[in-house]
Amino acid sequence: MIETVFVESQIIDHPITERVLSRLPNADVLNINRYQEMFNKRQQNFRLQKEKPALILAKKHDNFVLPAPPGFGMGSQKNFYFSHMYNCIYDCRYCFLQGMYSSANYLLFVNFEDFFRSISETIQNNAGSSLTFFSGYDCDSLAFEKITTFAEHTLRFFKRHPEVEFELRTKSVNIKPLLDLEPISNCVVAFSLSPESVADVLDKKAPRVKRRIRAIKELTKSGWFIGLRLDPLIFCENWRGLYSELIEDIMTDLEIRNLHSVSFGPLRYPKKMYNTIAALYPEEKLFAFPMQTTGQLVSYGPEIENEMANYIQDELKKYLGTDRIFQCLI
Amino acid sequence: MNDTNQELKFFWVVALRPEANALIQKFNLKSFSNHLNFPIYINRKNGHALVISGVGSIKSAVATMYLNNTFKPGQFVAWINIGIAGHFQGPVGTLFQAIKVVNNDNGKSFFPGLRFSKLAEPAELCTVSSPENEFTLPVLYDMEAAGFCEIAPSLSCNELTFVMKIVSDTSEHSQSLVTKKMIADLFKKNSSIIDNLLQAIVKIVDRERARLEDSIEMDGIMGSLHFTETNRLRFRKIYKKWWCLFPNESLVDRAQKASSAKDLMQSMELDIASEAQSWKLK
Ligand code: SF4
Repeated sequence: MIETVFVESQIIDHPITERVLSRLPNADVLNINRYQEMFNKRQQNFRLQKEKPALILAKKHDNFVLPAPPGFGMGSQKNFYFSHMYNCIYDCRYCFLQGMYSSANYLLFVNFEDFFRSISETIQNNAGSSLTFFSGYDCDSLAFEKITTFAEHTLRFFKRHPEVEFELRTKSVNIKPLLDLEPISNCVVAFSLSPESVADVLDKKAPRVKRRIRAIKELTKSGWFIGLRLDPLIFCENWRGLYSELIEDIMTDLEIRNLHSVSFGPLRYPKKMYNTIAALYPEEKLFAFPMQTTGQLVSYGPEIENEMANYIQDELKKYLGTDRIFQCLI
Repeated sequence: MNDTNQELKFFWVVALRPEANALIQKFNLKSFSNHLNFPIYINRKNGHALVISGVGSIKSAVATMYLNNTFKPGQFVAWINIGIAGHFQGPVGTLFQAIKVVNNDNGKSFFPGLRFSKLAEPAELCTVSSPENEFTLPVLYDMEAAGFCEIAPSLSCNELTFVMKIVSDTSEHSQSLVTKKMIADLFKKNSSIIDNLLQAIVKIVDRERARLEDSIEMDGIMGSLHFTETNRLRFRKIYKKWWCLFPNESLVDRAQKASSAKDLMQSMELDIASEAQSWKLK
């Protein structure tokens, strides 16, 4: 799977580095000074690199916790996100990471302790407000768990902070580490989902939707709170039928009381990012659609966005109250 | 892109005449030019072009640029620096793919190429400005790769820039023992590894070419109608979308009947829009 690991010399002895390397005994390991010398280089070809990404182990020095963009969140007064990893082992064709970084290599920050210190400070500095912390913005939070143990560390941390909420976003069905833990009442495992036939085309290398739904049900049965993220909504032939079927498949036999929230959001990109991604995959029909450009934003346009949002909302209301349904607009 | 250069896929930059000779022979290259002390050899049939840079990082950078300026290939060709190198351990004759290259003079590092660790052993390489005999670090030593890596990725991309080195000397096997005959033998010994690497590389080159190159139809239409520079860019974008939806249809007839480039683009956009309501993702 991962053939090459580049390690910043300063964290070569870090326990997470040691753990990761022990999980990849056959990988070639090379030292580097700072990850930027490799990760931020220009003239990298994201599409080619994605065929065989290397893993970079590095130390993050600042900006551990950032405010989430406006329109992101499920009702808390303040929302923050943190990214222990950039890039993802899956290859969803709509993923904005393709246009965000020049490198497709996986960059893992091993100094989890600094993230937790910074999260603690953020909690202290915002005492009195309801807070949610999101992970999985720049990667999939669970997909790399066997190698990183990040989710396990993070869930244990948030267990000690019941005053705030934590959302772990994923498409992974690797739920064993979660099932091995007692459910944590302030932690939500949020799964991103699209209709099966859409995911079969676009969610490359990600687990099939059927398996994700199975994992969701298993987790709710064992007491975990689950989030459903129908994001991005993909417009295609028979989208109404496909989304209705998806929602029905999820809701059938689901422990609804453990369903924390459902959110949905449109397919939108900053113009520059859209152009970068579309140029990477010119053969992809997703990017042949006559999208609308409004200012610096590329989207399906308000007509399609509203039609889809209203429809999804109505479908969801058949199963749960509006207090658990959120429209995400970033 | 210039038509006559379409078939060139591999651009080799080598320092020494004996290294070049091994490749000239292997790929049946013919002399193309011999200016500015940078002899160039090519074979259009099998897609190889080669320049002899001479020794040193700066010469390697200049020769790379010179080879590029001579043929102006697209962004989808492979640039390969191959040659002999020192290694702390060896054994002599091993071909390595350098996946990290450090310029010893300024500390700058490069991470060239998609890595083919199943085909060639990966290694770190240090480019030095004078011959290395001490082999203090567990790496390869050469005198060119950093200069090559400074230029080649900007001509194509980092993933199509490759550095391959064959160990010729170690602390046990002095550089003074390296002869022309030995270099020829080292290349011969690694001939099948080089072939395997080229097979892997050409697949990427072809894929990138399909992604980036204007199709013959696109070229033809842009030649037959008047396009402003802005419209040219717009046409490329619309054409790619249109082709994605109608891969089996031709635009040639329509282009001949169109009163202007703008007309043609409008009709293509209408085609695309008419598909929107029943959009298929596959
Ligand atoms: S799972 Fe999320 S982060 Fe990973 S490729 Fe898909 S969209 Fe991107």
